Amino acid sequence: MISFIKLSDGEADTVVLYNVTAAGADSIFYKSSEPDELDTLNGSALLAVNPYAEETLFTFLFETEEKTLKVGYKNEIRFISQDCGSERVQYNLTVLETQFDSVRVVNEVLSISRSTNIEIYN
Amino acid sequence: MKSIINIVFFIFPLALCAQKADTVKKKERDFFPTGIRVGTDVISLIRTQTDVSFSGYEFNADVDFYRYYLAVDIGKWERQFSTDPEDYHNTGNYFRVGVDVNFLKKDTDKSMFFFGMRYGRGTYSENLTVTTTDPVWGNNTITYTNTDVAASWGELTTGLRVKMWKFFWMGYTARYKFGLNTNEPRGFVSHDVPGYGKTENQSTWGFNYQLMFRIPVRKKK
Repeated sequence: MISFIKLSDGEADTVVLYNVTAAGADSIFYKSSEPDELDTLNGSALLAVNPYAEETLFTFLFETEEKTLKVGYKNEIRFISQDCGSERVQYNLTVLETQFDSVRVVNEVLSISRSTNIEIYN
Repeated sequence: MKSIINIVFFIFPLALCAQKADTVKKKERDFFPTGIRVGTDVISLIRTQTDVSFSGYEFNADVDFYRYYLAVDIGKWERQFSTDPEDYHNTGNYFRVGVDVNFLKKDTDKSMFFFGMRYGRGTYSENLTVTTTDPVWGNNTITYTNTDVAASWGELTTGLRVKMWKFFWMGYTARYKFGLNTNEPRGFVSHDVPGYGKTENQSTWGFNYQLMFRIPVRKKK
């Protein structure tokens, strides 16, 4: 999960954009219900990294510009049991490249618990 | 005169004690082995026939050194868990070596009630094939493999060995296993270690029921 933070006061920042996409995936993570209309992110965005690779490139399409964020991570899998199947964990999250001015990794383990992994300061 | 009597009274019992000590001959401990016991674990053989996810066998041997027994176990273990989207397979070998202390050393049949300890070590390979259904990234089937992984652990043991007929013995061993250490690379966490069990258990119990034959090497003095 990515959180947008105001550099001035450290509070959650509301971001307006067209969409967020990931290289290699057909899905668009955030977009307005109407084409060519802006969507509003209230402080955070829940994105899915590629579980079959060790890096994912996200593109944030804002009203006037486009910014990218490339993250790296390690995959780990554990077989739990015949009934429960296996569990996959991504860890060692790092920011490989970005066009954002200030980015910080606050949690290196990716999970579905909706805790912030990366903070982006505007 | 009184002092002479006192000396006689003091020395006389000492002389009696000395004579008594001379008559009690201390029996020397005999550390030379009298026989080798070899056998197999019946539970592993039954599980192989009844549990579709398990296949394995184990051989056991021990040799006596007075009340101490050098014990060695060698085994093979294979696990297979197949579900619709996933398939886990593990195969490997293991051994344990340690010492048991017999608390029935006066038993003429050399039956045993023992406590002991073991060092266990296993080497194995495992693979996991997973078909993932991801709404964003699509479906994919990946096989993860760990090859020639080494594992080690410790055990505290207790059990019985009873002579049934001539050279034929039966017994059991209960094991408290602990301190598992594996050296697989990160990426695929080991699920099962031959001779130990599931890696998620930092300590676990094991049980063997053994049929054994004792081969006498020499008669006990």
